[in-house]
Amino acid sequence: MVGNSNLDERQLQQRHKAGNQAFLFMAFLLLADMGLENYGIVWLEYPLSNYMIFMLGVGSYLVRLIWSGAYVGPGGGQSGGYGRSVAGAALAILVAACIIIVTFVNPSVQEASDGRANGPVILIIALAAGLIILSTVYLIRRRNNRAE
Amino acid sequence: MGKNLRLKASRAAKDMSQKQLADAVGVTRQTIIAIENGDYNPTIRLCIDICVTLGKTLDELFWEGTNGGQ
Repeated sequence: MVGNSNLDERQLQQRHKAGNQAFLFMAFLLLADMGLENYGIVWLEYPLSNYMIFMLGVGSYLVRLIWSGAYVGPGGGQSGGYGRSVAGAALAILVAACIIIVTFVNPSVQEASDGRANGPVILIIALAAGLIILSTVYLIRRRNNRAE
Repeated sequence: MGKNLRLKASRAAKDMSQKQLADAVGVTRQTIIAIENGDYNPTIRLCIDICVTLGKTLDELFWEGTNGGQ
């Protein structure tokens, strides 16, 4: 019952449904944004408005997947998956600590970039997102494997 | 689609939890819950896997007509 994507048939069905609706939702928002702009209503400047609409579409898709139990496939359980997750989380924390030490503790790095470099902040945000995803997967697996 | 109490009873008769049945047929526990609650209509392939695991026929577990599954 598990396909190449490691999801069962109900999960695949839920994903397709949520994906189609998120796609239509984004298309509607983009058209609404264009319409509003034609009437002179600018709720957000151009690149940011599209970015916000994209984030809304993807965010709603992810929330629906997690809500309907279609984010993590069957299997895994206690073996294998947890070891990799813990190793990934430890690595992410280690890299984040290194970035913080190098960027914020060592003043020469900030001086070299005149304090304008956003790279470290973006890297830390990416690592935080990774940790959030790992935590979410862990919580879903726990919920899937709990007793009745 | 109503609740599938025959599936629930057959699983209980085999002393299997939802998780054990889910692992045996290769789906998530939520999928078994959805089938038992009548919230999801499984494919014939999954129905057969469940029947084989529980030692029942398709009629006994899934037929909703007047003659079968009683």
